[in-house]
Amino acid sequence: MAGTLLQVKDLKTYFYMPEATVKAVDGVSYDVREAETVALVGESGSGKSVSALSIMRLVPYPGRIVGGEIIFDGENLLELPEKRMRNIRGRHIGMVFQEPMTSLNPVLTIGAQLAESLKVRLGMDEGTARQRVIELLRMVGIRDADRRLRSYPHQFSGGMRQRVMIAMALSCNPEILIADEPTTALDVTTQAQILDMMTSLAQQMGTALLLITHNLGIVARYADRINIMYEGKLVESGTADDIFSSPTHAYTRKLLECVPRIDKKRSRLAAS
Amino acid sequence: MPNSLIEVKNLKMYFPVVSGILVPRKVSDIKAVDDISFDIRRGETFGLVGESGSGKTTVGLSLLQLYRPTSGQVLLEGKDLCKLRGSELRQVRRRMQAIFQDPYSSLNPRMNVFDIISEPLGIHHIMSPREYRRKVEEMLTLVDLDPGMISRYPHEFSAGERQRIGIARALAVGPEFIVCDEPVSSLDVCVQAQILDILDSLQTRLNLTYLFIAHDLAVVGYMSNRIAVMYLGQFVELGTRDQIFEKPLHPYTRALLSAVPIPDRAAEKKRQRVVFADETSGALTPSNGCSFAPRCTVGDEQCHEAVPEMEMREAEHWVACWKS
Repeated sequence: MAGTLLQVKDLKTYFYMPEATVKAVDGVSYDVREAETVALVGESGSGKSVSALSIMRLVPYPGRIVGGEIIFDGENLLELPEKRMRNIRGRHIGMVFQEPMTSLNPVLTIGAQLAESLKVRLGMDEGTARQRVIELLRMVGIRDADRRLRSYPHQFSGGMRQRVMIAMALSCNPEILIADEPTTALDVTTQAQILDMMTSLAQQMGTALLLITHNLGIVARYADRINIMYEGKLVESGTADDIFSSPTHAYTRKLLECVPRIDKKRSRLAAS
Repeated sequence: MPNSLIEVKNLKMYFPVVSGILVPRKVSDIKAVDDISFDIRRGETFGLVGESGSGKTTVGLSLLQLYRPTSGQVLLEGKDLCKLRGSELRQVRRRMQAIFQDPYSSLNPRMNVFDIISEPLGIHHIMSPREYRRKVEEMLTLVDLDPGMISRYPHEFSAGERQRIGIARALAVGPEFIVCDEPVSSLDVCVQAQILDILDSLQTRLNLTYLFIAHDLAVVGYMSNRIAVMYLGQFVELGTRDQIFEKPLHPYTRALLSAVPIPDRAAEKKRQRVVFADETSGALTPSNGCSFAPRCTVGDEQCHEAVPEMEMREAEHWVACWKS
C-alpha cells in the first residue's frame, strides 16, 4: 500500500456571518495516498470546496479554520508560517478551479501566466521557462504551443482554458493536484477528453489527485476512493468499488438513485 | 399519421455578422439553425440534445417566435406562426410557454410570487383581476408549493423552489406546449429529480406537450419519447429514446453517448469509449459535405464532398450520415 501523502484530521472551517455561524466543514477527516485518485463528492453547499480551500489555506473571509490538522509531508499545514505555506501552494500542492475564465488573468498572455509560476517558484530564467511552458502546453494537448503561448485567455475556448489551468497546476510537479469541479462548465465530450488527459498525466507524473465533484458518473469512471460529504460532514468513505456496489449510508443511496442513467430504461427517480 | 401538434419545416435561423463602425454592413451569417424539419406530437416529450453552440436553444426560441426565423415554417395545428403578427401572435402565445434554465435570472427580484405568476394572466386578459389570487394559489399548489408563500420574493426561495415558481408562471395561462430549456441543469441532483418528476406528472395531468432541451443526455433520455441530436445547427439523428440510446447510428451520437460517465462502477469498467477529434487536434478543415466530417473517425472523401440528407433507416429512426 502506498504511503499517505496528505491527511486531513477533524477539520473544522466555520464562516462567521453577522447573523449566524455557518459550519461549512465540521469535523471532516480523510487522507490521500501517493499516486491515487480520491474523490470528494457532495451537492452544492456540502462543504467540499471549502474543505479543499482549507488545505490550501485559502478560505475566504469571513471563513476561518477553527480546528483540526492537515498533515502534509509530516507537517501540519495549519501551523506553518504564511511564507512557508506559499512555498507549498503550487510547488507541492497544485489546484485547478472550476471556472477557467475567472482564474486566468485576461490581460496577460497564456505564456506569461504559465512562466510566472516557473520563474517565481522554481527560479527559472526567461528562456528555460519559455521552453518548459511549450512543453507543458504540448503535454496538455495544445497544438502549436510555441504560437499559442502568445494568445490571451479570451482567444481560447472553455476546454482549452481548462487545459491551460491544468498545465499551470502541474508545472512545478506537485505531489498532489486538487481539482475543484474541473469540468462542470464544459460539454460532455470535452469533459471526457479533459478528465482523461488530466488523470493520465497525473498517473505518468505520479501525482495524487483529489477530485472534487458532484457528478457520480465522473467518480465511477476515475476515482479509486470516495468520500461523500453532506452538510459539512463526511457521511461515507470507502473504495469506489465498495461504495458503488454496496452503499451503506442512506444519503449515498439517495444520491445514486437520484441520477438518471443512460444505460437504464426509465425507472422512477428517488425524488424528495 | 400520428397527431402532430407542431410541425417544423425547413426552419432556418441565421444571425447576421456585421462589420464596420461608420457604415455597418453584413459580412456573413451565423447559421444557428440550418434547415431542420420535424414534428412534435400531442402529449409527447421531444428531446433535443447537443453540445453548447449547437443551436438547441435557438430552435426552442424560434418555435415560440421569440426569434423570427429567417425562413421555414413553424405550424401549430397547421397554422404558420411565422406569418402571424401582433394580436394574432399574442393569442397563439397563450398556448405555448417556456421554462428557462436559470431560476435566478428568470424571475424578477422586485416582484413577489403573486406578481410573477399573475403577470401573464394580465397580459393575456384571461380572467378578471379579482380572480388572480385564487388562480395563483391554485398554481402554487399544482407545483407543490405552499400557497401561503404568495407574497414572498424570489430571494427567499431555494433554487428548486424558484424553478417551481417558473413552472407555475408558465402554466398559469393554460398552455398546451412548453419549451423546457435546460430546466434542471443548474440544480443539484436530488432537486433535479424532484423537478423532473413534477414536469412528468404535470404532463400527464394537464396533457402537456414538451420540447425538452438539455445538454445532459441522461436527463433527456429520462424525460423524452423521441430525441433529436443536433450538431452545428442541424439534426444528425432523430429517433425514439430507445433507438438513440441503444442503437445509435450516427458517429456523433455514439461519441456523445460514450462520453457520458455512468454512475455505476461495474458498468463503467465494461464500457468501450468512442473517441473523435477534438478542438485541440489542429485546424479542422471545413468541409463542403457533412458538417461533422472534420471530426469524424469513420468518414471518407464522400463525406467531405456531399451533404448527407436525413434518411429513414427504420420506423421513426432518421439519420444524416453516409456511413451508417
